[in-house]
Amino acid sequence: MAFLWLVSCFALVGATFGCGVPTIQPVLTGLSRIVNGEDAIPGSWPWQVSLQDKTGFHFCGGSLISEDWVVTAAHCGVKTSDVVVAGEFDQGSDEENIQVLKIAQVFKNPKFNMFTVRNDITLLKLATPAQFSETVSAVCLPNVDDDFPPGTVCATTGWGKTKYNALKTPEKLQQAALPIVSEADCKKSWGSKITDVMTCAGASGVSSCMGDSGGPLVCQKDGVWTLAGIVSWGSGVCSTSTPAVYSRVTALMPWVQQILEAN
Amino acid sequence: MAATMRFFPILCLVLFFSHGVASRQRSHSKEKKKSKESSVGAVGTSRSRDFAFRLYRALASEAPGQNVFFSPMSVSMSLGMLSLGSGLKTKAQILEGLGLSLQQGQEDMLHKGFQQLLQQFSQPSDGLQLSLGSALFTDPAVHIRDHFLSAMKTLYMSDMFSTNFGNPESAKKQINDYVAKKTNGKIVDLIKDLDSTHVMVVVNYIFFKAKWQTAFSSTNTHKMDYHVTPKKTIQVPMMNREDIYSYILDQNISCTVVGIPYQGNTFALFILPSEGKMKRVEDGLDERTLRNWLKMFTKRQLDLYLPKFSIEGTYKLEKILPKLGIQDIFTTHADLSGLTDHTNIKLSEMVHKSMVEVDESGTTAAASTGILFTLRSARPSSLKVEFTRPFLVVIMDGTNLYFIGKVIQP
Repeated sequence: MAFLWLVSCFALVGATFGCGVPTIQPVLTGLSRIVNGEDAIPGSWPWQVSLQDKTGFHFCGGSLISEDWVVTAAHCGVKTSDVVVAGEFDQGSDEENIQVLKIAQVFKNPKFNMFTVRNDITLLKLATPAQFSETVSAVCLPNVDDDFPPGTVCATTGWGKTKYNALKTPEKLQQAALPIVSEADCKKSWGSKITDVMTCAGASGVSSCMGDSGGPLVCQKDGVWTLAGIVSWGSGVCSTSTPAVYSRVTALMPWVQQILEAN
Repeated sequence: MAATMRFFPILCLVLFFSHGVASRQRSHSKEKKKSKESSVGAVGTSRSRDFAFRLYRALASEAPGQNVFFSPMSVSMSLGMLSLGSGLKTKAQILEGLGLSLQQGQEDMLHKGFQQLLQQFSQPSDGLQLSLGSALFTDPAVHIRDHFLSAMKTLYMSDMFSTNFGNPESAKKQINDYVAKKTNGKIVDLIKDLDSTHVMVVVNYIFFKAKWQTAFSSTNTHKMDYHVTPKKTIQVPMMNREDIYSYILDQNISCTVVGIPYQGNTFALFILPSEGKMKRVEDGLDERTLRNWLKMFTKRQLDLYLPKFSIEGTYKLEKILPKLGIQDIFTTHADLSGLTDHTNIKLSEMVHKSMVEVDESGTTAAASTGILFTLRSARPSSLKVEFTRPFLVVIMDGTNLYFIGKVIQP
């Protein structure tokens, strides 16, 4: 199976830049949050990319899953005229060794529904591969049957607003530690909007916010960071006591595998 | 900042007339059997809808700078009923005004279509308050043919009353009490004055209030500036809901159109002319434009501001319909031989009253501010649309035009 080869390929380069193993270790305190956020350690989330339009405006995040592929949210509406910026920490700095990567092709999940925000996932094929380094490498993809139980403490990162009505997004990459929320608890806030292709996290004093869309919700599994969710939607005021909603990557893996195999 | 990305597929918002109630065919000496589809089609044909827009322009030109509000469906229903009682020439004039012809099939389709529509509306419906009807008030000296009475009740669920117009106050009370009762007190004092020489009056009324498919949250309703004219600004309660709506920017006639579904098959179109373009939009409003909108709607996330309003219109149609070619019935040339054996009888007055209430009520609760659902992209996902100056409203199902109106002052 092509995907198995892909996994083997990851394993082969594991000694140098294995997926989900940052060279620069992230440090999370239990009190960090994106809303009223905590700066990440530069380079410690090497799969985090910024999606920017041709004017350089950051509108969404994304995650490198290999040198050639980025995963993000479908609702971000990425076009091939947008760019992927990898290896970035401080968007206000001119001194970072960033990689500005063009997009060859956009694969939006055909089942994405803007009404219900189901299947909110898009794959971006890069026109030229990212050069992996100590600040640029991939996150691991989960297996279809991987489980991230409620209460598991995971991490989300992004340049999203730290307050819902902030005029600008922060320049430095923010990080937050947050627990997975059970479906039952999440439905107490969101009712039938919550479906099987979504997962919820937060409501613990932290929240993703506008500008984080498409970015990662990662959990450690067997010592490696694995992509459990993609920032999708949530409270209009980025309430830190309401769960935020992420695309459930395990449920979307069959489609991801299909796209990677075919392209 | 990048222009707002439109990444929704085009979605057709054509809804279809639903036969909520099985209709029993009734025998009638002059009726022919017709399929439901063809009957219903007549009610909503493009020519009958052009009647709606022509009537709108006639009413609007009578009242420049004022709200306009009427029900094409309800007026057409009244005219259909009157055509039952008309002789050949007067009948032809009515049908032509409605965009139909004297061909037997078309006339039968008209009546059958209205019959089915009225039967549907007479069924109780959750979330919908609809009172609709017509009534004929005639001087006791005028004998009404049994045949007409029977057809009127069967096809149009209409009532006929003997009314002493020689005592105008008593006649007025009789008519107003009837309409108030029929509309559960929503429409009162329909008739302000009556002429003692009247012999026949038709009143036609419709009140509508329905629940949105998704409610607006009343906690999001706040006073906002509304510009009645560029020089006159008032404060109105403005509802707000950020959500996915049907949306068109029509560059041809310079307006923004927002479609909002009610529970069931009914929906409202709110039409906001670009600054200073109300006349342009009114002139461009016709069957073809409406059909194009229904085809071209896209889904768009909007931050929508819409006034909470109640609007009504009362019209003496005997002064308006002649402009659309329906005149004989209101003059001594009227041929009402199908209705009465008296000669020289004319319809003295035809009063139409429409009323609609637009508020926050909906079937699905709106999110409160703290729980408002929003995507996490930083690309502006919501286009702000503010109905803070005069706008047009159309309420319909996929086939029938319930209302057309212009809101100058909410």
